[in-house]
Amino acid sequence: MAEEKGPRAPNPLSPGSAVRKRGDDSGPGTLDLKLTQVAARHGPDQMAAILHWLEALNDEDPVCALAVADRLDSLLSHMGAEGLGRWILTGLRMYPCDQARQRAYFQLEDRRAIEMLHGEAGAGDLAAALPSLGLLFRGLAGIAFELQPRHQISLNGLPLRPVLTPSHLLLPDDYTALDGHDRYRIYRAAVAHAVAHLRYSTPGLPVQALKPMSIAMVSAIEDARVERLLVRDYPGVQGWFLEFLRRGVRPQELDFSALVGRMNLALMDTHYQDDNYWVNKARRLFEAQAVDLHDYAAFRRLASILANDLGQMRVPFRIPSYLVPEVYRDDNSFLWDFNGATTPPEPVDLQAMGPSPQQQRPESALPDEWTAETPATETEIGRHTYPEWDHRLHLMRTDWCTVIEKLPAWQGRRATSSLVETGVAGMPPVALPRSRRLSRNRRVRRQLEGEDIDLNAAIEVMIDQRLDLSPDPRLFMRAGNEDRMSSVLVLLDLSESTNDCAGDRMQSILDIEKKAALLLAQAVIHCGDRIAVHGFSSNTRAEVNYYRLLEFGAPLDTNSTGRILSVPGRYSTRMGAALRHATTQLAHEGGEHRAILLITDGAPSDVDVYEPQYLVEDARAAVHESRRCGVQIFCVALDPQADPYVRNIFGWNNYRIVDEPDSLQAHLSSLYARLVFL
Amino acid sequence: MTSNLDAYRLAVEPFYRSAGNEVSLYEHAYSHRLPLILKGPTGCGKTRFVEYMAWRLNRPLVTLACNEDMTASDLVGRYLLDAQGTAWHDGPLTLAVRHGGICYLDEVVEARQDTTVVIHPLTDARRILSLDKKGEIIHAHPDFQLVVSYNPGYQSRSKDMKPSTRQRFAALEFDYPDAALETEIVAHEAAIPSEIAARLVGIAHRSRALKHHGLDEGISTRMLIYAGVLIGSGVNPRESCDMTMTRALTDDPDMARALRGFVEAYFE
Repeated sequence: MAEEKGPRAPNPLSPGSAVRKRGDDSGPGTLDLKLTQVAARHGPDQMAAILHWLEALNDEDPVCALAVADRLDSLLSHMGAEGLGRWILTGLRMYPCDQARQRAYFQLEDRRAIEMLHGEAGAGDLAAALPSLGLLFRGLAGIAFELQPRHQISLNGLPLRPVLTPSHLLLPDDYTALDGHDRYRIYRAAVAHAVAHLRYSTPGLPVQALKPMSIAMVSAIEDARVERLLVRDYPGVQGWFLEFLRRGVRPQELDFSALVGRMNLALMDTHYQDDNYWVNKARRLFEAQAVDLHDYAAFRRLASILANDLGQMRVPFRIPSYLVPEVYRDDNSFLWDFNGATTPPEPVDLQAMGPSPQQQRPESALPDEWTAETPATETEIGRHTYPEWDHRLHLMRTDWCTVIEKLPAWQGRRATSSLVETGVAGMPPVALPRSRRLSRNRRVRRQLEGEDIDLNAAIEVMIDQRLDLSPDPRLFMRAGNEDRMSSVLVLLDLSESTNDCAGDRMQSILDIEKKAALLLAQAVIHCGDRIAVHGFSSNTRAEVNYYRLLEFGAPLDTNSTGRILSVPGRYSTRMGAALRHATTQLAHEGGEHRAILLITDGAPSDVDVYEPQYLVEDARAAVHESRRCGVQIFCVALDPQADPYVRNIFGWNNYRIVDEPDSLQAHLSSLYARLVFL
Repeated sequence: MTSNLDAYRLAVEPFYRSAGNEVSLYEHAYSHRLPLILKGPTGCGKTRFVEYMAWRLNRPLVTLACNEDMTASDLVGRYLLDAQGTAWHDGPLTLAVRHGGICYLDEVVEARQDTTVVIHPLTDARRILSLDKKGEIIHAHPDFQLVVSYNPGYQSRSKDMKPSTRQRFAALEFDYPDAALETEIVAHEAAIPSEIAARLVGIAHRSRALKHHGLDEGISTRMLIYAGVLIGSGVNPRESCDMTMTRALTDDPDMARALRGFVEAYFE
């Protein structure tokens, strides 16, 4: 298995860069100039990736690297950095250990180099396919599952295969035109194969004393078994698999990988003819057992017989270079538990496959400084006391919580994390519907249809009729529509737990909350409604911090954006008090629609409350009070397990659970529609 | 007088497969003339059920599809001009109330709340409809019954029924039938072999797993029948599904790709 890491994040044009040094030798400043131009056109992320590939190629063969660098402009006019990486991989994989042909390839003198270039140009990147693959997975498997890219960073490593874990499917981004023209079809087959394992395989069986060749053979038979079962459910997926089973088969060769590849095809394709005795024996045994595909033990015995045969045939099996022959099949680590085995495989490091390091929150490196520094510079605006509902005593405790209104400390550039550049600016704005309603004040006259007769028009019609003229049929009137004003207060949960990463992403929940608030504020202000963004955290009932980040009617300028981005996540979540205070803020708003949108990551809690249900019940009471005041409350929970308590607090249909941060925008838009069409 | 509603009578028995005891429950409700709410996802057979019951009870069925531009006049009627001056014309609801039919308001939450309040006096013990513009009060015909339907899944808060409206109704809840029954329905309605119908139902089940994850509603039984009809008339199954399901259901390219994946997983 190749070593994996996220793409390195080098200083794109660092003076120490090996490629640049070569450029300096060959021509004075021309390469520098070229790289600067490329950087300007493609942005720092793309540039980092491009340089990474160039330097890796430079380590392989400097002549090739220079050839690519010289043609960078025309290459990048066809494809992005990922495509370039795959194109370079294609050249090296097509002509392994053949320097002359490799050089011809990178100097574009080889006809196939151009072919492959066009192959990559139209291929589409993994990132673009992931959303659709996620939906496909969810539909076929019936469960939510995380799909993530698995980045290839090494030029001379083995091609990557998908990795399946009980919660993730990692898809390689290094499939090249050699594996298939349309990469989506490979990914689709990989998804179907993973679904087959999830449905029908028992994961993590102990390896015990099984030899590597037997493991590979048992895995191959298991792959065939679960695929056969899946084809029973979804007949069409047979075609998905066959495309790549046929592509990978090498009928003349007799090494282990070739034989297994031939067997795999024979087990799926009834029309395939093979002249090898062993392949046919495998097919015969498998088909005899195929009447009961659920009998795992029988298939395991069958695999042992086949592995034993190969051993006796002295077919060599080389562990380091063995790769599952089919590009779409996972590496089978899902099936085995290698603990205690003699040759454990390299562990799969999920963390390493997350987003690149530059997306990490800068503040995560210095949490202590952060908390120590912030309270000193926060500005207190006022203190308010609110009651709290004690559900055990059925008692409203008056003046129980103190809400302290604050302006957050201005953190300058450090706090305005990469969110501004990468997060909000990069995302398309949220599309918001306008809230309109019928207004009796506006009468639309002279209509073809309507509730009432428009008297003036009717008189004209009667006159026309008596004069034997053809009357104008538009004689009705009806009520017109009127835009209505809505005010929405976005309330952010700023508790300590929001600093955690969302799922397996490197983005914290707090960042996602802030992004959501900014996106919504941007869109709402754009369409003329009123919005405010406030946040809260609590440190016992004596200190419920309430941050006013963006006021109603204020523009979303650098100051307010900075305030939103810089507010830290600390302490706990005393939801009820914050909701009561937010409701009071909305009471001053004149709009007919008043709503609070709470974005939270977890159940209400505080350090001075030990009973989990207490604050939930208090929040529920606060929600009911607000509704009675004509303020609707809606909740977006960024906690996949939030269902029981948010439902309890906010009521059926008044909350959304966003388990996919990517779908946040879609949720916001539909949610806002619900909020304003009250 | 019933001749006014003869056009609304159903001549042929509509095809309906019962999924539970809803037929007998409806009959009981009708025997007491209780107003009814039918709720359930789109295309699961609410309208067909009402048609079937109207046929079974031999009552005319006046159906009105509600929309947000619908006004009370569209329900009860309005004055129109003729050669002599103005003349009152009964709306569909008034017709059903006068002459004794089942009035079915489809997707009632789409109508504005101020429109739906005209049905309030009809749905309690008074059973009257007041035409205030005309100055007339109509006592409902003994056969009259009001049935409304809505889909609780996707409408916004504004499109919830007012509590004062919904508390006047008894309710029946519908959902997509189970796989075997749905297969039978699709096979019958589209006149296709049940093996193909079963595949279509499989696709629908996959898509229903995406509800709330990009889809407001999964593929409905009605869509399956459309797809089946096209397949029956010789269109390639994949193209039929693409036309009646994928393109009809979503504009999102990622979602469309995933839905096409489901179709291709069932039809080679």
